[in-house]
Amino acid sequence: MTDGDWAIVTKDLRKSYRGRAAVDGLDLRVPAHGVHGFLGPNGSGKTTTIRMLLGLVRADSGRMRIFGTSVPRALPEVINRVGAIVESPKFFPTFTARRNLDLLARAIGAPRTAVEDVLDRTGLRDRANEPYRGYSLGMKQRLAIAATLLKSPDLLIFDEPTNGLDPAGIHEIRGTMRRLADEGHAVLVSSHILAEVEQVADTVSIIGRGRLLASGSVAEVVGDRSGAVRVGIADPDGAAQVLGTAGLVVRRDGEALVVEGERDPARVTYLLAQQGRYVNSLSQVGAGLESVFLELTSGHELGAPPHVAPEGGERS
Amino acid sequence: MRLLGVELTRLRSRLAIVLLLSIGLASTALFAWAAFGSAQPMTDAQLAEAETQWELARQDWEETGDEQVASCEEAEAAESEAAGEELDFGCDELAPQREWFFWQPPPFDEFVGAALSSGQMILCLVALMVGVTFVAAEFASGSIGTWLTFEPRRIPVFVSKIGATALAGLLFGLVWTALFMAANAAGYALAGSEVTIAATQVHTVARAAVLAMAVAVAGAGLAFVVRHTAAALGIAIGYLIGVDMILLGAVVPGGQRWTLVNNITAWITGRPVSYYEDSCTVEAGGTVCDWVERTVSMSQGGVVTLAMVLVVTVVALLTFRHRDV
Repeated sequence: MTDGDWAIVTKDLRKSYRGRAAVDGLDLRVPAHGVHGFLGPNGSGKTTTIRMLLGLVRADSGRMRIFGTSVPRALPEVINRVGAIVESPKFFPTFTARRNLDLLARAIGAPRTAVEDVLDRTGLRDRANEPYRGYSLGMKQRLAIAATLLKSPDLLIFDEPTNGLDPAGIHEIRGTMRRLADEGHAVLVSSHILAEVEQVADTVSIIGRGRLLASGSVAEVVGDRSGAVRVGIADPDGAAQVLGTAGLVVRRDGEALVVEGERDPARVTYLLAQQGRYVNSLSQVGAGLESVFLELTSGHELGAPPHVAPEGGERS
Repeated sequence: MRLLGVELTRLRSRLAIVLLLSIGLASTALFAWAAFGSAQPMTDAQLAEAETQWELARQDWEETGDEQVASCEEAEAAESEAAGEELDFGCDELAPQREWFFWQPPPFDEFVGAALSSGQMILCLVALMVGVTFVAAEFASGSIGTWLTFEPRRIPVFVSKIGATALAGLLFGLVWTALFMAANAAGYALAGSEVTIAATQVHTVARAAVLAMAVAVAGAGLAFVVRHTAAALGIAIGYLIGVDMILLGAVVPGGQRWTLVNNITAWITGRPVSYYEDSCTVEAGGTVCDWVERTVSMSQGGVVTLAMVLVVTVVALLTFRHRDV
């Protein structure tokens, strides 16, 4: 596959702030179809990467391409194929939704009917004449999505789109992303919550400290790494020491312990019982980004080669 | 042109800007009141009192005029001898004149020029705030980031925002100065004084419009650099106090020639602005200082103001083009 067959390709992308690397040699490939989760903990470089792709932040070095077009040098050539919401939606607070959209539509020469069309598609028509500042966060997100749709983009970028949303809002955004992908758009969604993205993403890339840790389909990346065991026990510190000595990855979660990457609760109870320690409660928890992320980085130098390469992609 | 049109729409839609411009335009009404007060002829009581005072002064002069002139000339001669040069005490102008006691309003043209010297503060302040808030609010709300994901070419974005600010400043300057003139004329007319409209007043309106445009552009430029309304206004006010008034106005020798206040006043009034510098020479008897009158011409005022706006605009462009958003 050539770079043009991918929605986004970055090679050895780097960006530092005051000598501290925010993005550190990132090689990223986002397929031209489907939902791609761009995952990493807070501060891992997701937003900086997105901002560099959109020309809002200058990269120190490296190469970026969107649909094969080199950015930011030729960004104006491809910008109309890209709709993006970076961090939270940002519009003029005193303007109505319709006014905000109208200004953006005029900037790209979109027909006036486009505004009404995207208002309909996002269910905002009835409240389109209200000032943006009065909108709930969910409505702001819908307006931001409406703005991205003004361009009829081939690629949609959502940066932490569910931050601050209630469950209904999160569900709605997920549904919207899935629908857009099913309509043929490529969707890149960044998040620090894998569990949230894995319900909607077809492929994911996981980054940490600005470097790619893993990339591929959700099943491939999460695969056997999923699972953790939550242990309630009287002396969590002592128990953590026992489990740690046995080679398990353990972290404190309040008064409980979470054994990362462990799918067999029996092994946990066995190891503890051997040392005369008995659990009060035991439960399996699904994989979160944190558990996968900890496993990916545990025992490896940060930025180790990704475990799984996307289909048709390169191992890097 | 498309971006410029969008920016003009955005500017028109901003409630804060509409309010600022409205307050600025409404402020011209205050000048009607001031003009009315200044153009009031003397009342009958004041006329009677003036007549009495004039008569007293005339009688006193008839009685003691020769003595006053002689005393004056004696003092003039003594001081001239002491100074080693011929001094003029104006002894031949001591006789009281009737017009000294009967005040007349200044000619309309002269009054308007003086009023504009103080009125320009309002014009410039409103133009500055419009320019600053128009750009800074976009950075504060973060909508500039959204905007750049639709139009990533920063130079056209910059030019369109500066262009819209310039047009708004120009229009505001034209309307404000026209209303200012009309308000002063109304005040004069209501007071029963003569109002004469001269070509110079039309030129004044044009110069004020250009000035408002320049100040608005400078405000927008500052906002591109510091990205915050209060910070941009603080820098502008800090410059006026720290650099204009203190450094150039009082510390740097010859600095008054370059103060914004002097240059802007010269430009907008169309008349030279005078200031005084002390010129000192060391002589045998010690250091002798004298006040020397210097002027800032209208053309210099225009060039200096334009140069400052250009500097701010270029710095703003470079900043916006290269800095992360």
